[in-house]
Amino acid sequence: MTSQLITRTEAQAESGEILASLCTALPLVSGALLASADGHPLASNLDSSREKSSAAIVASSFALGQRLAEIGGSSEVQEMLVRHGDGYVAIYAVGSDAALVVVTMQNVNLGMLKLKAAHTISALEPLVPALFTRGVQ
Amino acid sequence: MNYDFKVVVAGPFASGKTTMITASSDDPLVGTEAPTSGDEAGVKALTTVGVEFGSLSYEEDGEAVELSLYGVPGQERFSFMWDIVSVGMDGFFLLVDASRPETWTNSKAIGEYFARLSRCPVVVGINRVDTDDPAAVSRVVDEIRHAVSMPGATYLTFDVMDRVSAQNALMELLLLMLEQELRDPILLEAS
Repeated sequence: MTSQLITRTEAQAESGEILASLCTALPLVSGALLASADGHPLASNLDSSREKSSAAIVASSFALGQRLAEIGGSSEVQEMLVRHGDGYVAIYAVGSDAALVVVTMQNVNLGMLKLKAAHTISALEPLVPALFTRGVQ
Repeated sequence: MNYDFKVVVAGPFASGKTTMITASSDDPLVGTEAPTSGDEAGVKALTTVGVEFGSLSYEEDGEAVELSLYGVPGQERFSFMWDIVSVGMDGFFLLVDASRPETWTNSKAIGEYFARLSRCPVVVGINRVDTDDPAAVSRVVDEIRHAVSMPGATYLTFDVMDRVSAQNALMELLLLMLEQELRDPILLEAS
């Protein structure tokens, strides 16, 4: 795989396109965000004003989701789904260091969402290492 | 009479919150840690992103006291967790890292944030004081009392990694919480 050779900027552009194509494929998806497990936005097409706070909230929720999974006997959370008055917010694991969040409107087809999210996750996963700026300084 | 107190442990990134709760808790800590990235990765490998939980119980003269310890993330981006976890807290434990004065204004900001959320008793626990000389220790405490001023708080030095030291620090907060309970006329009636 050539993914290890791409730069952070290229990975950012590519992951932005992947998120955009998810929104195009499912018109009832209003936004998507890729967050690091420690609460930083890695790629997003939400309002820029919401990116940072959303990434932190997703990281906390995802970590608590892992604890919920342990109640069920597993330590590996794969998906979390929040249904609210106006739609859904779905969180999916992207490897162990990142999570994908998809924001949808009310009548989205959940089966299609799951399928498209799975495609999006496998497209994003190889880009995640390049999106991190680890151990700077 | 049984007491059950909720204690929130807060402080800047890498000040020792998880270590303190791990050291003092009777049961293994239930945590939510994630790998750090960016600048934070240069300081340590894992950071708390949600909430962590430990508990500690004492029994004396037939009285049982249970402390529930809640640790919150130190970074400002997780301040929404501070709002959530502070609901119903009986005592607040603020950590200050004596070895990194550049984090003291952050300690103060976190302390003030929680002081706005609750008027409960406060202990400021000063960690990583690298001297045993009493005069030097009291100089550091005075400096921090000034830099991280929390009205009405008790200031003490301790070692987050040492079980006895961490538990003693929590005992100071427990005493303040018990005093507060005894001052509360409604609770006096109930007992």
